[in-house]
Amino acid sequence: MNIPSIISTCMLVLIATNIKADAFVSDETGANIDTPHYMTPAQYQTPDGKHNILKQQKTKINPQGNVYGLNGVLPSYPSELAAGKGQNLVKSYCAICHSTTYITNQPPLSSKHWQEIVDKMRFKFGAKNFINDEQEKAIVTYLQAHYTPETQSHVESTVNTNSEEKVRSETSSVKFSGDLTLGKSTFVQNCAACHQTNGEGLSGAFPPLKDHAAELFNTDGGRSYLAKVVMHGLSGQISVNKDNYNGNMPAWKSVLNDEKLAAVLNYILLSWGNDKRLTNDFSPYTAEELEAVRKLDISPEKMTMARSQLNLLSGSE
Amino acid sequence: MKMKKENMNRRKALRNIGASMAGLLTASQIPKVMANTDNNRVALEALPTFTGPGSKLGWNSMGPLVFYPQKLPLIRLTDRPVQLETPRHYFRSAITPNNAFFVRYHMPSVPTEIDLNIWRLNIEGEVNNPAQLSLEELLNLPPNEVVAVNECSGNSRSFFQPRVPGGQWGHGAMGCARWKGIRLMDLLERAGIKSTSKQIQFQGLDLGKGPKGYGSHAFMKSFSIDDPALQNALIAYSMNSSPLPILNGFPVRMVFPGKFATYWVKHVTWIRVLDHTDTDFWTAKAYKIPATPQADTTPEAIAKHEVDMVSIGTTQLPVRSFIVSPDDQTQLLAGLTNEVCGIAFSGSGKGIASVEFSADDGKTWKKAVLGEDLGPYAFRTWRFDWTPSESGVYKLAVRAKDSDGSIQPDHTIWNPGGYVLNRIERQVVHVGKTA
Repeated sequence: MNIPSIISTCMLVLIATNIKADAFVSDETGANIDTPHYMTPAQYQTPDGKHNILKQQKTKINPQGNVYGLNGVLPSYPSELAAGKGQNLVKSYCAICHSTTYITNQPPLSSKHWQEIVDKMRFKFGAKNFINDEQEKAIVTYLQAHYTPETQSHVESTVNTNSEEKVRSETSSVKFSGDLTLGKSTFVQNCAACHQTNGEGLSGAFPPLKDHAAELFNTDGGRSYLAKVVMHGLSGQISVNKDNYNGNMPAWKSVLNDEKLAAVLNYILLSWGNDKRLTNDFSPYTAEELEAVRKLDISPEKMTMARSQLNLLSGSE
Repeated sequence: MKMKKENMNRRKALRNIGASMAGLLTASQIPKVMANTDNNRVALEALPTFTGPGSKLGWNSMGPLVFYPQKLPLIRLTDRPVQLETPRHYFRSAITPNNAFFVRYHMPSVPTEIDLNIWRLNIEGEVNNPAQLSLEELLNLPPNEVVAVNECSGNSRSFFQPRVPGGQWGHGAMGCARWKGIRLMDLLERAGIKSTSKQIQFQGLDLGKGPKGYGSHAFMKSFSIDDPALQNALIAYSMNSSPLPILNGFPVRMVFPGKFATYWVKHVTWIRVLDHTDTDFWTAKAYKIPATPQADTTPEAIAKHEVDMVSIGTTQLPVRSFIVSPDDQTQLLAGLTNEVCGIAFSGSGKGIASVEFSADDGKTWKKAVLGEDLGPYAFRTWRFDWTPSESGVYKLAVRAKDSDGSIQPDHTIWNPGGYVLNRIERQVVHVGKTA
C-alpha cells in the first residue's frame, strides 16, 4: 500500500466518523445550542435596488445530489418603527426573534394588550434573559405611545375593499367630509422624500410636519403662513424642537396648482395626529384661498422673517 | 466663522439626504406591487402597514406580494419568521399548487438546505427500538395517501372584532394538497411503544434564538397517546406528487387530517414518546381556545377569567365555505349568467353534505352544484350559475353543511387568540344594466 492510498483510506474513515458525529441530538426542551450540521439555517437579506422585491431565486443544485435546498438567502424587509424614545430598544431586542413588521402590522392594540404581549415575550418566550425590568418598561411605554387606538391613526386597507363597507378616513377627530386622496398622493409624490411619509422629517435636515404643522396652524396668522410657505417657499435658518434647519423649502407655485396645494395642506393638517392638536377651528383650505396667496409677491427669504413673527412655542423659531 | 458653520450644516444636510435616500426603502414605504406587473414596477404610494381598529376589509391579508424561493408571489405578513398568505384566486381549484401554498413559521432559524446523507428521522423516548431513519428508508416503507386541508389556526384572524394580536391573516392561510407518506402508527408499532407512554411529541428543524425550555427556542407539538388524531397521521414526503417545497417542510412533515396546521410539524426530525405530559410552551400554553360552542366568547368574560380554555388540538377544522369568484373586482351584468364558485371543507372526517348559495344576503338559499369528491378532508369545489334579472348591488353568501350535521353560524365569533372563525362569509357584487 503506497502512502497516498493510506492517506485516502484514513480520510474515508474520517469522513465516515464525521457522519456519525453529525447525528444531532435534541431533547424534549428542543435543545439546539448548535444548529444541526446537516441543515443550513436561513440567512435574511434586505433586497437591494429600488423595487423591494427579490427576484425568484434559483434552487441550488448540489453536484453530489445529497443536499436539497435553496440559495440560502431569504428576503427581509425591515419595517419603519415610529420615531421616539425606546425605538432603539425595540429595534435591537424585539428583532432578535422576529422582525419589527410583527409590531407595525398589528392593528392598534390597547395599552393593556401591549403590556401583556411584552410580558408574554419575556416570561413565556424567554426574552427576560435579554430584557431587564427597566428595559421592559421603556419598550412598553414606547409601544403604548405609538401603537394604540389613541396614538395610532386609523387606517383601513384600500386593497380588495368590500364595497359595502366604506373606507374610513385616515383621520377622525376633525370635521372634514372631503376626500384626502388627492392630498395624500400629492404629498407622497412631492413632499415625502424630504418630510418622510410619516411626516416626521429627518432631524437636522428636513423639519417634521407631524405636530409642528399643527403648532404653526394654531398661531395667529399660522393658517396664512402655511399657505404662503408651500406656495412661495422658505430659505434661511429655522429651528423646530431645538433642532436647527438651514435648507431651502422650494416654492411650489410653479409645480402644483391651487387645488393640489390646498389638498396637500389639508392632508398634512389631518394626518399623523395633527388633527388632534388643532386648537383653532379648522376648515379645509380651498383652491380659491390658494389662488389669492399665489398673487402675492413674496420671496423665500421673507418667509423666514414671517416665521419669526409667529408666536411659536419655545424651542421652535 | 459663519461661513464655516453654514458649510458644516450643508455637509450634515447632505449626509442626511444620503440617509434619506437609503431610508426610502424602509417598510412603511414598501411600494404596492401589483400581481400582473413585472419586477420593475412599483406604485407611487406606500402601502399602509396595518389595518384597524375596525375589522379588516377585503378577503386576503394586506401585505405586499413578494417572491420567495420555490414560490409564486405570495402575500407577505412577516419576513422573520416567514409568513406568506395564498392569494384568493388560487382557491378556484380543490388542490392548491405547491408553489402557491401558504407558509407559517414560528422561528427565525429555518432550514434552507438539508443534507439527506446525514439527516435522519429519530424515533426515540419510550420505545423498545429507537430508530434513525433516512429519507431513503422512509421511501421503502408502505405508502399511504390522503387529500387534506391544512388550515392555520389563526386563518381569518384580521376579521375579528374587536381585533386581537397575532399574525393578521386574511382567509388565505389554508391550502389543500394530496399528501403521500407513511402512517405514523406503522412507525410507532415498529418501534414498539412502551406501556409507560403518555404523549407523542413532534419536533422539526425550525429553531429559535431564545433560551432553552422557552417558546422561542424550538417549535414542537404533542398529542396524547390515545388521541384518535394519531391513527390518521401521516409522515408525508410527497405533496401533490412532488417533494415538499422547503418552506412547506422538506424532507417530511406531519399530516394530521382534520386538525389545525399548528400540529403539522414541518421538517419533522424527532418523534419522541414521552412518559409524561409535555410541558413545552407550544403544547402546554399556546394555541388555546374557549371550551364553548364554536369557541365563541367575549372580551368581558375573558377579563373575568370565567372561560375554560382548552388546546386547539381538541377540536377539528370547523365546516367553512368561501366564494372565490366573483371577487370584489368583478362587475356583473343583469340578464347574463354569472358563475359563482368556491370551496367548502370540514375537518369532521365525514365530508361536505351540501353547499347553499344566497343572492339576497342570506334570506333565501339555493343548493349549489358540488365538484369532485377528493375525500372527506379535502376542499370540495362548488358552483352556482346565477342570472340576476335586475341591476343593483347584491350581497352574495355561501354556507356549507358537513355530513356530521354541522353548519356555519351566521354571526361572528370572538376569542382572544383569533382562532377557528367559521362564520358565513359574504361578497358584495355590482350588477350593471345591459342597456
